[in-house]
Amino acid sequence: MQGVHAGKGMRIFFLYSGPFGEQIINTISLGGLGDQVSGAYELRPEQILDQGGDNPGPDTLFENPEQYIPADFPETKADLLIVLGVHGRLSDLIPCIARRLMVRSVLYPIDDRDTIPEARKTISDELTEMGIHVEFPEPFCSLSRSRDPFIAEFLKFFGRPLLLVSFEPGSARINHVEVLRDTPCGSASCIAAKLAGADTGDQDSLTRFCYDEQHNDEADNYCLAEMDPRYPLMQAAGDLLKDALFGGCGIPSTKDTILSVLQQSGETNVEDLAVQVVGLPSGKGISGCVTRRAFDLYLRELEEDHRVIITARSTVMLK
Amino acid sequence: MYVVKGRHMADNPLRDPSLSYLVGVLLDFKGTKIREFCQSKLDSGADPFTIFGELQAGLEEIGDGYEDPGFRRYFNSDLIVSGRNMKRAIEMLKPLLPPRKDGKGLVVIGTVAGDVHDIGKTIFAVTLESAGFFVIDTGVDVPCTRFIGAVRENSPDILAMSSLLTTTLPAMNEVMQGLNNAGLRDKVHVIVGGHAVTEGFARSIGADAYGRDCIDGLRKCREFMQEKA
Repeated sequence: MQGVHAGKGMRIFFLYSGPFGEQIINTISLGGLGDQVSGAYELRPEQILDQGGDNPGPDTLFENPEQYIPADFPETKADLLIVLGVHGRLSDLIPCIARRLMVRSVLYPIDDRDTIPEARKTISDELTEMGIHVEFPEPFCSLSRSRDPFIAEFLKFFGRPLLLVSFEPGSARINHVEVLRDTPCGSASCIAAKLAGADTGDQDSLTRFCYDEQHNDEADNYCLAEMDPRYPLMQAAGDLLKDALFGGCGIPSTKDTILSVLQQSGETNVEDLAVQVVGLPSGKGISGCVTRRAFDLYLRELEEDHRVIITARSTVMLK
Repeated sequence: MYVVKGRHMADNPLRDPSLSYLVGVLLDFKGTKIREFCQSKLDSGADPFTIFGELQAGLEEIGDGYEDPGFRRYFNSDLIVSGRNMKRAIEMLKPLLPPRKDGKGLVVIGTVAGDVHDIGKTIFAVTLESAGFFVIDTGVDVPCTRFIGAVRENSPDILAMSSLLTTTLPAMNEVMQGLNNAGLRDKVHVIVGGHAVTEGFARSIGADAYGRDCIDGLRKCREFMQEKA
């Protein structure tokens, strides 16, 4: 992308709502990008609902979104706009706000169904027309790769967790966990700090610890994504964290298990493969995931990485 | 460096503006504001029950905003953080509570066997406590025998069971049958809730009520106690 220089000078603006957004802003600010934050603004639905007068509320927001931008919205510029926990029905404001901030990229994570932008495609098209790149990682910590230079720069610090584990000499016990990339909520760092002494030989306990701690509200930072089993974003985030830890320990992760199953079975129906991997307990060199969502994500990435081929008949095989 | 130091709810109108400060206190994820709020109230001579009452009003505002079918104003994360802050308030105020003889009722609560989810159950327990109920929390992954034992030993007014996973719903039915077999069913009201539970399921297993969420559950528990009075 010509004329774009992500990196040290990248400026980030947060449009957020509620404690979900606050936690992430604090993690990002304290985790290495604080000097690059050009501003943050909390956009609550009440600000739109209670304007009164000629402004009838969110139902007609899409007709003239510009007029709904709050009067006290800061006059500032940024390269990357990160939208955190803003009500889905306010999403029509995002292209106007992006234009006003003169951003080049928008990161619009979805960690709750209520924050899914109502007009996702329209917003995406509008932003693209303006030359602004947009991504909707779901959940935020699933983000692991991007062709956009600003999001790629952000990914050097935050996104899908990346852990490097060192062991006590001659032992399977963890000595130290270095967080190469933290989750935006900061839960990966919190868990990493508690892992010294853990026995990686007991993969079942390690897995349970990881899932429990990921949403432990006694911790300084914890996952606040939606946990409804019908939309299990928190559980999927737990899968990603568990696999990051297993990967850091050199233990087979869910992706390794997918490849191993395919090696044994050859071309397999995707649904049959899911049955073998989702819900598989960890241990004895295998590791499954709790959610179908994580399985689908891993399979898609294996395809992008040319490790597997998914056919039009919904079968999958090793490449 | 940019750090969010706290919410400025005065700039953030709610449907009931008098609650805006309380909501801000409950949604402060760092938990600083809840401690400051409780301490300043105690310093001004307020008793813990009054403080719980005020916080409860804020919690109900958040609950109403979460339930609002027209425009949901609060999300899952708001419920979690406000529940955590209520727990912080209880940790701080509980030691100062006088022994209550006029409690609104005794509730045995737990997440059923096979399910280790704690948050929803704990938020409900905290909500009940802050509304004046005595709560015996049996924890998560609670087997049928432990629920029955807790009912037999404590003679609670209400048994509350939670389940997040649909796979653990049969465990709720097992407890209902266990209560019948032990001759305890007519001695306790049963309320069930959690994401896996529906009103129809609650009816099908013979529960007395279904709690759609902690606010609705509290309302039902209050109704049970009114029936008993």
